[in-house]
Amino acid sequence: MRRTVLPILLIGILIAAGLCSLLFILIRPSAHTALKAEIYVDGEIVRTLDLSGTEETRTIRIETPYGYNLVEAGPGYIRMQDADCPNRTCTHMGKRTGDGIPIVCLPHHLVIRVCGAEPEEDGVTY
Amino acid sequence: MHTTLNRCMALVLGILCVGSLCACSLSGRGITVSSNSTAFGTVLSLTVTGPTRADADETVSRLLAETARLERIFSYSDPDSELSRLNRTAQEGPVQVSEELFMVIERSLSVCERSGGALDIALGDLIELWHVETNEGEIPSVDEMMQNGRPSFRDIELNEEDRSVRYRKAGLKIHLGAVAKGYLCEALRDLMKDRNCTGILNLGGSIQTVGLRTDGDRWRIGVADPDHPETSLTRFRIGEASVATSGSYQRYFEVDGVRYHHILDPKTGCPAQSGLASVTVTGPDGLLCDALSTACFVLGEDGAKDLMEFYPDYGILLISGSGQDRTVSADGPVETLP
Repeated sequence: MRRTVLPILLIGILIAAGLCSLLFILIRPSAHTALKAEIYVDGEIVRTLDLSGTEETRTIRIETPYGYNLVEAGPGYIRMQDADCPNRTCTHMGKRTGDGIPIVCLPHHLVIRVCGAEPEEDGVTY
Repeated sequence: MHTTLNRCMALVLGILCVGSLCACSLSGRGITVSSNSTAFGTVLSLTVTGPTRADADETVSRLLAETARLERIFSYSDPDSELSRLNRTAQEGPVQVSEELFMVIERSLSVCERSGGALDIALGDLIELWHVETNEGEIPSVDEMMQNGRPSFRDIELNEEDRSVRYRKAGLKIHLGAVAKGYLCEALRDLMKDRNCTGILNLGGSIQTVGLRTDGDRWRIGVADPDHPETSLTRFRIGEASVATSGSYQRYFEVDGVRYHHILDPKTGCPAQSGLASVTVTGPDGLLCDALSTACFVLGEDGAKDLMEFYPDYGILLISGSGQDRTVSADGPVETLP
């Protein structure tokens, strides 16, 4: 009798564990659900901004070893408002909403990337 | 009784194994890390998936180190780069160069020749004259330079025996801006494959994919809208491949409403006016994609299609016109998405 019950119990535990694991993987919250902007200087993240949990527009000043950048972060977007770099190309790159194209200020070695959106593309060529 | 039970257990365990494999597949294979930095005067975005976090991190470090190493070879602006040293001395006599620099020049010259000079890597003097990236509205006079028979790629002499390069004409300067990013894509692809990693690299719009996405699907690549480069105009799908785009909207200055962009036509010495707004080329090798996108942009639609007949493994996307008259046409092995 005991020789019959034990394997059945074992099978039951294995099935339950397997189902729980599968359920966890399928329903766990995605790590990319919250929209955020990562600001890199010299390849290192210096600031992370939440773009989905707020309705207000904020202006953040980023000091780099090469100069400053003023970043505007609002609900669902981020843009470069101002900078003291020579050509100010970064201020003309528009609002980014997670389309995969980063905002770049080359003279200040600064890159802003929006993460969390599910872009329709894995990369954009330009 | 026991035999039936054992069979039953084996069946359940089999189902569990298959289930676990499916779950692993659903949760993605390996660990993915991203990096954003600047290189070759533009932004370098790396997304690398490795078997473990340590593998992925180590691969990103090596990719960045490799990028820095190649920049020290191919940079035009760095006076200490190998290319700059070559440009200073190759008019005096043959200069021995590294295997990589020799090979990149040799491969580029093949496209220069085949494109009838639409791609010319000997444009250093003209690029300096226009200095599009820092130009604040001064249109240079190129007439004198063009009338005096400025140098071209045909004045570059390669000697395979001693791997040397010689310039046969005074004033010649090689500029590898049209090919170096593509070669970097190839080098980084090889490094990632050696380390058993997959992922996608984007160097200022030049893309290299390695393997497939973590869900096993192919990569979806957007092509920037020349009128609004922050959005995509069209999309296509690739497996493991390189992608390069040349467009008049990337680097330019304007005078009286006329746009002077950075892709120069070697025949006129001025920004190419071929009617195209951008050209995207995709295929196996990054250097060829990069070189062909520039050559095709200069040639225009008909010339581009003629040139691409020599490269059946490469697909091309041409964007011309503007606003309501914008047209997109594809040719060769490129699978566009709706």
